Amino acid sequence: MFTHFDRSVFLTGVLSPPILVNTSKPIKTTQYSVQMNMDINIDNLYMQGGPGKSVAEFQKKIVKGSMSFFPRLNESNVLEDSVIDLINASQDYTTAFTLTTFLNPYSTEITGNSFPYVANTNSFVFDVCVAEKIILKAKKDASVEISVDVIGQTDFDNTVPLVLPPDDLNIYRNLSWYDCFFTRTGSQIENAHEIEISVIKEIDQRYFLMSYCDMDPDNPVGIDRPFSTGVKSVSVSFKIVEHVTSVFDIFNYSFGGFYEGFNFSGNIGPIQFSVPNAVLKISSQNLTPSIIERTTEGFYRMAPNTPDTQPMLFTI
Amino acid sequence: MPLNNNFYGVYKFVTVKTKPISTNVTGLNPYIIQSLAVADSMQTNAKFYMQGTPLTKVLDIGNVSQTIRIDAPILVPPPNQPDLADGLQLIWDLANLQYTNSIPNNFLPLLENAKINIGTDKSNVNLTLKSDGDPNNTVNVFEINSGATAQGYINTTNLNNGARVAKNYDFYVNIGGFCFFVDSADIEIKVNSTDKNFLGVYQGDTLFPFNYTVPQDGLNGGTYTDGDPSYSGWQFPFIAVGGIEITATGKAVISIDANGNFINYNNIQTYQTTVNGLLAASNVTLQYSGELTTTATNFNIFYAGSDTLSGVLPPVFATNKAVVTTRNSNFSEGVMTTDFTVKAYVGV
Repeated sequence: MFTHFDRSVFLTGVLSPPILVNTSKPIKTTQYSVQMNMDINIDNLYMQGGPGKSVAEFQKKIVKGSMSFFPRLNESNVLEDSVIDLINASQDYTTAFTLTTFLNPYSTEITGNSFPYVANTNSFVFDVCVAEKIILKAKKDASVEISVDVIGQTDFDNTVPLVLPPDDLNIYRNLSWYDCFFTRTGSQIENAHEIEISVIKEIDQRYFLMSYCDMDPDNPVGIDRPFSTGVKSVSVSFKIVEHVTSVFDIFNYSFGGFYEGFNFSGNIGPIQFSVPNAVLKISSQNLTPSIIERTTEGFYRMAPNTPDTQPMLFTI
Repeated sequence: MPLNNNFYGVYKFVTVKTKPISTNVTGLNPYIIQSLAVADSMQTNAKFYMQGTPLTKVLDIGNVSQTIRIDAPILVPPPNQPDLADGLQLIWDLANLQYTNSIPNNFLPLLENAKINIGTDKSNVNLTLKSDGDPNNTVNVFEINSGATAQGYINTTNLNNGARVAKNYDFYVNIGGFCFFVDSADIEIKVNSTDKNFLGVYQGDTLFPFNYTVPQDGLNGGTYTDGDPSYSGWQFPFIAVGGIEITATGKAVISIDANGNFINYNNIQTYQTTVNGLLAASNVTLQYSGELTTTATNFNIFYAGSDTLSGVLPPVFATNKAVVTTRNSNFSEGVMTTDFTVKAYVGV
């Protein structure tokens, strides 16, 4: 076997250019798959003289995808700016963020003649991104992991080439389980084995017929992206997995309910969180010959205008 | 095992008798349609007399009617390619066949009803055509073509370039002065028509010979030629054309901005909707007592097609003024909407 070592290498994620949050803040991800997304179905058939499918139906043109990463701390125990931006954007329903990749521009010929997905330069920016769902997951003996589901839309084409950010010379360590501390109504949750906190938004992306009221009739511009990426609702839920260590714990068991809320708060390294009025849903308790594992799920019983006061959940 | 799939409609092409605006020549022209349904009916009742038997011996055979229903898409070609012969083109060409200088011509099929459904997801047209059902018409009002003929129409209709279904960004609307977010707009063109049957005309001995025999069918297209003993066609109706009505109904959306501010759509257009914008009387031109409240050019629905804007309605109808007749506002936790109805002046 003869291998051409001098010809090419596969591009791996390690070698790919960094992704920028809010135009200038690099983020190192373990997985990144945010793409422009548009379903095109070719199911339409007519009395058309032959069996060839020639008529397409273009669906919503949006940005969609997900990313996950291990938040990192520098020598001063400070998170990267990009991570802070993403966490704040996830809890503030009025805040969007941008994502920039240094991919080659998409062809203008792919999806028709409107400009929003045309990148005129070597940069490609998703202008309006909303964190539809963020999950912070801390598990015993593991690094803390954050995953974000992104949905959004493009805005303007980006005519100014982006420049690569300067090399980051800081050294970092992963945020780990041993940076975490959790309390339930003031008492430390000692037996926790895994904690998961999610902020979930209900998104509505609508579009409308174009208005002829004040447009230039000689230069009509159709916009084939949604009018807005609107947030209709915000909810916060959590999951606590505990390993039962005493007989007392077995009977100290909540079936959930609405009667009495409790305060669930803690620290995930420099990320403080507080759910001042948590409600438990029905829990499950798995009794095995080895470790007894109990999972408690709950949600944040918030007032409708709670998300208007920021930060409503995470303080960094 | 032989493959036999010749029955599928996708291999066929429909031609309809029209007068395309581009050529102004009347004939059978191909259009891309989803479905065509033809209903022929002849009123027939059993008659019973004092006849000594309950068995049917006498039938009262009445008039013939023919209704043609067409469902066709609105299509957009690739950039810089010519427009397709789609449902919208079919309506235009039919109107061009039937009206010259606002006067109807005596051509069938008659466009009786057209619904242009414009939505953010999908747009299409539904047509109801009327013909007299006379099997002896010399020119059919439609034909189903197959084989090489059908394949030839692929280029004629410009379907060879491919197409896409029209979506929200292909339409530009200003209905009754609404400068708002319009979710959907349906336009109905209704041509009032009446079927009339008459007694046969006997025009005297000089035209009909004494040996005149009663014809058995409507030969010669129902057209009398001097001295033709086979003139018939009485069973097939005369179709009288009444007025043309154009009504638009739709759904406008009330303000999306939570703060009730003006909304800017990508800096291209400024919408003037506030939370209460659609409820203000001045914005919907409902009539004040004793007034005629219209605004010039307040009924415009344009279609971008390949590049340039053209009106959705047939040019022969030349419509640009309208009044708002109903407004139903709906408030819920979802999108707040106003359903509206607009009646347009035709030819104004």
